[in-house]
Amino acid sequence: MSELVLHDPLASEVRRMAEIEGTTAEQIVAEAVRQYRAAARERKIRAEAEWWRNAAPELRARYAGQFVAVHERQVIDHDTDENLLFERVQERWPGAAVLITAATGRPEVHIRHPQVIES
Amino acid sequence: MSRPFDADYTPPAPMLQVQLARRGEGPRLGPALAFVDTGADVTFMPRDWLDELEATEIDVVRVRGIFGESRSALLYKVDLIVEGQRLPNINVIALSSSSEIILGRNVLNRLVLLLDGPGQTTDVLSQRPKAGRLLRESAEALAGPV
Repeated sequence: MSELVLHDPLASEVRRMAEIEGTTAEQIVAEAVRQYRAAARERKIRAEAEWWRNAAPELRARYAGQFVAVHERQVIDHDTDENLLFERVQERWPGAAVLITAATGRPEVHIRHPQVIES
Repeated sequence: MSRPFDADYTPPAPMLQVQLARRGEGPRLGPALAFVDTGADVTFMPRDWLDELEATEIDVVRVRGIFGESRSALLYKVDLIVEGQRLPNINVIALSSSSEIILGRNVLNRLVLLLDGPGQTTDVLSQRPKAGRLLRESAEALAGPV
């Protein structure tokens, strides 16, 4: 078992939050790490998507009709089958946030789900 | 197994029970009821669920509602278990503003569903019923009780 030492004022802040929430300091830290991780992965996927959208037309054209996997601003793999590509990426880059997108962009998603609410 | 419509919606809405799993692992979240929505192109999940599962983000998509508003959202891949039937590598979109789970056509088109409006139940069938049986049952239903 390894230990991580927090110094004040962070340690006091974590203890205070744990008291307010009725939980343990460890759970507060775990939740903070979970949220940080999700935000960091989202930033990476959005950055990779932005890079791919702005990539040279000839690079995008090379993969027309396929899905591409983009990691650290490089196309690391491609396939016509999205799920086969996803499986390979999971095997070769486990845990990494890798963009998997249609080379020419995914279609816009529609929800036709209006709900009547009381006025 | 017949799943009753949810009467908290007006009119009552067809629902199916779902669980969520990471690739190749057992169910980690759920069971919970999901709204059957043939008008949704893709399936939607609360963002909290996807974060808790540490689901794999794969892309960013634009989502447009019926009144024309559009927003950007994260797309994930998860294994979805619908009424006990495992569907691997399903694309789902994170919903930050809602606790609803919406089963869109990327899932519904993989299932044989019997939506019984008057009976207010939904069933996932293992195969399509024979056409003759469907016609006979429809005719009996139209004729009503003798």
